[in-house]
Order: sequence, then structure tokens, then C-alpha cells
Amino acid sequence: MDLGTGTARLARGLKNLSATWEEVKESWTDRVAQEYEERHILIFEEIARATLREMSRLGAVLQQAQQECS
Amino acid sequence: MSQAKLSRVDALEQLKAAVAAFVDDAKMALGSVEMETRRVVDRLNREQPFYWLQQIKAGRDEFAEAKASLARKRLQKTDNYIPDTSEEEKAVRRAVAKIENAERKLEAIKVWTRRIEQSWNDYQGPSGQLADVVGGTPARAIADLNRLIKAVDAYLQVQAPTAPLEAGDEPYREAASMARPLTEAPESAAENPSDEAEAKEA
Repeated sequence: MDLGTGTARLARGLKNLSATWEEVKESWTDRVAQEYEERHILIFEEIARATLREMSRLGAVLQQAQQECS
Repeated sequence: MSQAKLSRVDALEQLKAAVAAFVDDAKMALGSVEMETRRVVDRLNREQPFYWLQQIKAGRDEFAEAKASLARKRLQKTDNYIPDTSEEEKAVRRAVAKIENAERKLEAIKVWTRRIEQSWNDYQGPSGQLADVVGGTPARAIADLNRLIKAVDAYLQVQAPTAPLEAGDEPYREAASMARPLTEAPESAAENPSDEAEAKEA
């Protein structure tokens, strides 16, 4: 799997997780659900988005490096 | 005592599947980025310098040959004959350009190796955090869901004689099996979930 495919897969996984959480929290509405969201879902979303941003930057640098040095 | 509200018992399983898929996707993505970066860095540090040094050597050989050829052609000059040296001069310029290009590439390799290193360091922060939260067997987010699912199952078994949940039933109900916070020890929630929660039939 190359970098572009990996990045796309993480983006898709995050999108699916967020969509599922929105659906699930319609039917799970207690304190534990709120705690789960804070402890896991929001953390996943924040970290995955930051990782995707850096993946994109790193990918662009790798691509340009190959062009400039070949 | 807090009351758990779960109106669809398969919601936790649905969430668990989505979290597990996300964990897999994240691990694959992190692995692929690391592999790709290593591949490019390895190519830049090993293959490319060797290639461009070879090109410089070849360029120098071509330059020497072109200069000799140009000198020979110039020797043909007489009072009545001026030889055309344009092709030899072009060959000299081509050789010089080849050497200069290879030297630029070697310099570019140094520059881009540093840039990749900087980008990799920037990437390490969030990717390290992501690796941490999706790490573990199972990941903490899945372990917490396993504990909750176990608690819900235990609660439903306790309720079974009075409130059977048959296959095909629309299992919409309020379940009161998850009153313990996630921060408590995993074993505690499944010990006797019905004691700690107040069930309300939907």
C-alpha cells in the first residue's frame, strides 16, 4: 500500500467512524456514552485529523523530493 | 445512581465494528507512510548519490573527449580553410551541462533529505499519538466497548425470565447496564450490572 492509499484509508476510516458514532449516539444517550465520546471518539477525530494533515505534507515533500532528485 | 440509556442493544456492537475498522485503517495507514518514507529516504541516500556520481564521472569523460575532438578540429585550420567546430563545441557544452546537472542533483539530495527529515519529525507528533490510541490488543476504545457489551449482556440475561428478548424482536428498550464510568476497573462493571443500574422497560 502506498502513502496515498494509506492516507485515503485513514480518511475513510475516520469518516465511517464519525458517521457511525452520530448514528449510535441517537440510541445511546447516557453519561457513559458522553464519557466514551470524550475519551475515545473525540480523541480519535482530533488526532486522526492532525495526522492526516501531516501525512499530506509529508507525502507532498516525498513526491517533490523524488522529482527534484531523479 | 445514574441510569444508562441504550435504546438499541446492537448499537454497541455496531460501534465496536466501526472502531475496530478505524483501528485497522489507522494501523495500515501509519505502516504505509512509514514504509513509503523509508523507501524514498533509502533511495535518496543510497541509489541516487551513486547514480549522480556515475553521471559526473561519465560527464567528465565526455568533456575530455569533446575537448580533444574540438582541439583536433581546430588544428585543421589553415590560411584557406576554417573548420566548422560547431558540433564539437556543442558536445563540450553538453558534457558541461551533464556535469552541472549531476552536481545540482547531488546538492538537491542533501536539501531534500533535510526537508524529509523535518517533515518526518513534524509527522511524528500526531502519528505517535494515533499509534498510541489505536495500539494495544485490543485497543482501549474496543476494550471499553467489550466491557460495556458484557455488562449489557449480563443485564439482559438477568431480565430474561420477565422480559424475554426473542430473535426477531425489535430490541428497542432502555437498558440500565452501564452505570459505572469507563474509568473504573474492567471487571467491576460486569460483576453485577443489574445491581448498579435501574432498568426501565421501554
